Formats: sequence, C-alpha cells, structure tokens
Amino acid sequence: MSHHHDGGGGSALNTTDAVLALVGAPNAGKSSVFNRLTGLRVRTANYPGVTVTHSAGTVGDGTRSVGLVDLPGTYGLTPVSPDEHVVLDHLAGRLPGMRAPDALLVVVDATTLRRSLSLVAQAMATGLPCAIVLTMTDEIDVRGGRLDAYALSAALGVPVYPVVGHRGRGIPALREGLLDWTSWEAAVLPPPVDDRAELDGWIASVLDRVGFHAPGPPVTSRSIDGVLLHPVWGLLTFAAVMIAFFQAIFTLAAPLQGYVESFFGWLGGLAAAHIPVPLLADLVSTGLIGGVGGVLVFLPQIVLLFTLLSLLESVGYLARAAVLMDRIMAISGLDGRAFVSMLSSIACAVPGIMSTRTMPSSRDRLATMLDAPLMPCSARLPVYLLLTGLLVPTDARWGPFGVQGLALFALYITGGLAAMVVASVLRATVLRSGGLPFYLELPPFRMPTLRTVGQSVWAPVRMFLRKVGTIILVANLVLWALLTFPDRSAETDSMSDAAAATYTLDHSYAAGIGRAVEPVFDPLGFDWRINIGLVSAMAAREVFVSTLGQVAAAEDPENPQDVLRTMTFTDGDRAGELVFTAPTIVALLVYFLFAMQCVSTLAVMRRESNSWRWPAFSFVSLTALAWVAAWTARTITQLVT
Amino acid sequence: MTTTALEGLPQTAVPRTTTLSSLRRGDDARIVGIDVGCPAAVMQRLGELGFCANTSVECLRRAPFGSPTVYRVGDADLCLRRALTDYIQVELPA
Repeated sequence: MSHHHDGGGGSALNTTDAVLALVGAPNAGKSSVFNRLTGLRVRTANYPGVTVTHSAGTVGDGTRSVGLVDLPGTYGLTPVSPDEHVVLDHLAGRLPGMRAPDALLVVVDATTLRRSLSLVAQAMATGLPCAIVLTMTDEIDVRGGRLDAYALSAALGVPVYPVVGHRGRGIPALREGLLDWTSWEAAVLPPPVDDRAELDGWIASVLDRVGFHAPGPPVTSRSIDGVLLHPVWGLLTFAAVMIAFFQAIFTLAAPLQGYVESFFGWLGGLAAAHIPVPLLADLVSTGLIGGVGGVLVFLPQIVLLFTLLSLLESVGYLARAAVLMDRIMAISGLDGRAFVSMLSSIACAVPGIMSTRTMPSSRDRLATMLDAPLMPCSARLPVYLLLTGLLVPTDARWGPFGVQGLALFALYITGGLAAMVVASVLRATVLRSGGLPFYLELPPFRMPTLRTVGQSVWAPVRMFLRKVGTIILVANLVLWALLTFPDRSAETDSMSDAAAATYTLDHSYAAGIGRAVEPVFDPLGFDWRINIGLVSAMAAREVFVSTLGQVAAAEDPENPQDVLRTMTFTDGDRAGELVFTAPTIVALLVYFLFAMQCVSTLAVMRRESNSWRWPAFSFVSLTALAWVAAWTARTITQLVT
Repeated sequence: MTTTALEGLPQTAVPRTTTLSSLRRGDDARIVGIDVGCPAAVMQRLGELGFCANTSVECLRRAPFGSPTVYRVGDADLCLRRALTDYIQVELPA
C-alpha cells in the first residue's frame, strides 16, 4: 500500500519509488490523464516559497509502483516567468527536499501536434527518458485529421500512448507503460532546441515522416463562439450565466448552510444539556461542536462553487468568460481570469481565494487573493442590516427607493470598487508584473465528465477540511476561551442565564482586549463593548450581531436593535451619552466594509499563498485602511449632521 | 481627368507587411517574424504558442470591449492582448 505524508514540499510519494513528471500544455488533457492514473489519493501542494501548485500521486498495479508528479501546464520548458523558473528548478532537482524526476511523460493534444512538438523537443533535450501520451485522439478523427501513433513513436524514438483521457480508453496500456518506464530511452540525438529555425525544421520533418493531417477547425465551437463572444448576445449570455451561478450558490447553498448550523446548534444544545459541569458543557457545545460547525458551514458553498466552476471550466466557458471580462479587469491590472474568483468572493472570500488556483500567474493570483477580503461577502450582510437599521428608519425613502436598500447597495458597490483599486495598487507596487502579457487558449467546447468534475471538487474540499479546517477550529477555540475566561461561575451562580452571560462576557479576557484597544478605536466613537464585538467578529463577521446583543444584555441576542439604540457609554468623559450615534454607525459600517476580520479567510490565505506573510500583510494593511476610512467617514458625517 | 490613366493601370500585387494588431476580423495573414524589440522570453513563448515564421494566422474576432482579440494560429484558437500582437509581424496578401 502506498504511504502518504505531507512534507514541506508536499511530497505524496514513496521515497523508494521512481518519480515521473507529467508535462503538457494547458488544455491538453493533462489533469484528466493524471486523475485517471492516480485516482483520489493525490496531494496538491505549493512549491516552497511560491504560489505555484503541483500535484503528486502514485501509480501502481499491486506489485510495482511509481510516483507521478503533475507539473503546472506550460507551453515550453524555457522559463519565461518566475513561476516557470520553479518548475524548471524542480525538473533539474534544484529544489531543496524535492528530488528531480527520473523520466518525463509529455501530454500532447493530437489536434495541436505541430505546436506541441516544441514542448516534446524541449522535453527530449533534457536528456531524461521520455514518453508521450497522445490525448484527444477521438477529436482529431471527428475533425477530419489523421495521426498515426505508431508512426509518431517511430519518428521520435520514444513510446507513444494514445488515450481518450476522459473516457479512460488507453489508460491501462499507459499504466503498464509507466510501470515499465526503465525501458524508455533517452534521445540519442537531442532535437535542436536552441535555434528556432532549426527547431522548426525538425518539427516539419517529424510531421512529414508521421504523415500528419491537421484536423479542420472545430466548426461547432466556432459557431458557438460566434454567440458567446458576440458584443450583445455574448454579454447577455455572460450576465445570465453569472446570475444563474449566484442564484445557485445563494438559493442552494444558503439553506444547506442553515441545516449545518441548526444541526450543530442542536448537537451543541444536546451536549450542553447532558454535561453536568457548566464550563465543560460550554467548551464542548460552543467551543468544540460550534467550532467544527464553523468549519463545516463552509462546505456547501465550497462544494457548489467548485462543482459549477469545474463544469464551466471543462466545458470551456471559463476561457470565454475570461476573454469577455479581460478589458474590464485590465483596469485593475489583472486579467480576465481573475474575474470569476473575485465574483466568487461576493459569496464568501474562502472559496473565492481557493478558486484562484486556476490562475497561472502567481502575482495575479496573490493580487486576487488579497482583494478577496474586500469583496462584499455574505457574512457582512447581517452586520450591514443591523447597522443600517439603526441609522435609517425602515420607511425612509429617496424617490422610489428605500434608503436602507440604497445604503446597502452603496456598501456593496464600494466594496467591489475598493477591491479593484487595491488590485491596481498592488499590481503597481508589491506585485509588479514579472510575467508575460495576457494570452489564453480557447479550447474547443467539450463535454465534461462526472469523474473530472468530481475530482476537481474533491481536491479543494479535502484540502479545506485538512489544512484550513484545523486552523479555523483552533482559532474558534481561542476566541471561545477569550470570551469565556476567566471563570465567573461563582459570581454568576444566582443570576439569570442572560445576565450571567453578560456578566461573564463583560469580565472576560475579550473585554480586557476591548478595553485595552479603546484608545485606538476611541476616535471612531467605538466603546469597549463594540470592541468586544470586533474581537468576536474574527470568528465570522456575522457573530458581531449576537455578541453585541449579548454584551448589551438583549433579551433576544440575535435582534439587539432596540437595546443598542439606547445603549450609553458606561464610563469616561462621555459616560451617559448614546453610543450608536449616526457618525459612529457610519464609522462602524465603513470599518466593516474594509477591515480584514475573518480568521477563516486568513487561514485559507495562509494555505494558498504558502506563507503567513500575505495574511499578515492583508490583516495589517486592511485594518489600517479600515480605520482611516472609518475615521474620515465619521468626521464627514459629523460635519453634515 | 488626369488621374484616369493612373486608375486604369493594373495595381502591382505587393504584399503588405504590418503587425498582427492591425488585422481586422476575417483577415488572413502569414507570419513574417517577431519584432526585434520583443524581449527574448516573450519571443520564446510566442514561438511555443505557434507564432512561427511562415505560419498562417487569421483574425477571428475581437472581444466586446475591443480587447483582447482571438486569432487562429496553427491548429489552435488563441486570444492575445495588443501588447503581444504588436510584436508579431505579418504579411497580408495583396
């Protein structure tokens, strides 16, 4: 049985096995082949220090096994960006703790053989034993082309395995071939890769000897593109797809999340009722069960988002969406591929950040990740609703529109615009381009298979549960401890439950933090109780609402509006004055608009960027931005009211 | 009417050299080469993408907001921004 472990380099390979590397162009069907060969036991990891991922798995037949590493898709082995340098360093064995592959398996799309031979030549020139997997062999026939795998094998002097990756045809023979990789030979006379003209000559002679007939253009895809990239129909279709995408996430995931929450609420209540020691009961029900629930509540969104993204990707629509949105995204210094990730962050930054792994450039990927916390995520909505409710009467109207609705709309738009501005600032400063100008291949439209979709959903879910879930769980436990300790059970013995909860919270470590940071937030008008809310909102922004309810001793902590309206400062020179004045509410709204207040987002950012540096940067800079913006908004509101 | 004689002359069939950016939708052209001002890494990648001398290229369509543009080159459809297509020199048939 294969044995897996997670090292710094993310190795999932037997140390004794040979390691083969899978190289190929984007869209060549590489991941399909990789998934067919390795099954579900796959590790995806970043290269040390960079935001470029590779996957590793094991191929075996019960008696023999070899490791297989899936490298990022590339059109050539000459590095043209910092990201590609890492891949080359890997191939050359220059990365600490990661061994160089023993042989290369080049995935070649039969329909684009002419272009792919550049990559084949470069692979053969490395001096490593090589073999070729020929994909899309069904498609080339349909489109009237011809390619003889035996002739190609003879012309190149390396084994060629034709497959139909998504159907699994040819995979058993390929697996046999891989396990027998020692019979592959390194090229006796490496192809001339240093001179483009000589290489072109070599490619022409290979094509000639093979008797290759290029397939005709994909006629059906062309006519579909005529609609999907049309100035009017294309944009309408795009809007329809995106609306459907969102509807699916909100209408399908939201109730599922509700079920997860009520299930863990029920389980927590059950535990609390059956554990006699109050503190232990609270630890189990709120800390542990609540914490696990706080992790699993993300799953419906992640599963749904990745199912939809994977469908759109494997059909070929994501590439078209990137073409449509590229011009707009160019304003922010990003390219069209960042659009869907940014859009996903409107639901939640956690899956939004995870979806950036489809982006090829690590700088674009980081810029998109750092933007994600600014997008108006769904956890902000309860906070916005509470605060706008305090600020504006429900029946206030401006023309035909309700003012509350307009305020919400303004908050959403500002969040989106802020994300674009921050992206362009990042791309102009810390993430200045080191890569190539944008280019993207538009693959022919293809039918997705259940297997491909399933595997591309499973990988992020597994990663989230194993790597991010633990960080979120620990963070939730720490927050629980801050809000619960020191133990006040002696003092609260004779109090009602609500009064006891308020008393405990008022004298907790979190309250200590709330008071300690009071000088920082005082210019914004926040008192220490609001600060406790800000601390607890780190677990999830919407927790702010119930914490404020608890701290203000509301009868119903989920609907604390009326109590908050009359809440006054407890001490200091403002004692007795109302806390929630218009300037303070505006400051609080603006603070929530910008502040990086979510440990789950920080955790997933740590995981995806492979370092604490970026989440730390994001936390510090966005908190500072939020403070300055909130202060400005408060000052302006004071002037006009 | 002095220009009539000139207009009547058969046009000499000289292929026109330009950059890929100036192609309009539906135009077919032949790639002549990559601009010498193109950074080596970019030149390398353009070659790997199939933008090699003597390859035919067709401008398929421009995206709704005017950029990027989709081209058929070799056996694939690729979309590029102007920053890249400015480097690619093509010859339009007369």
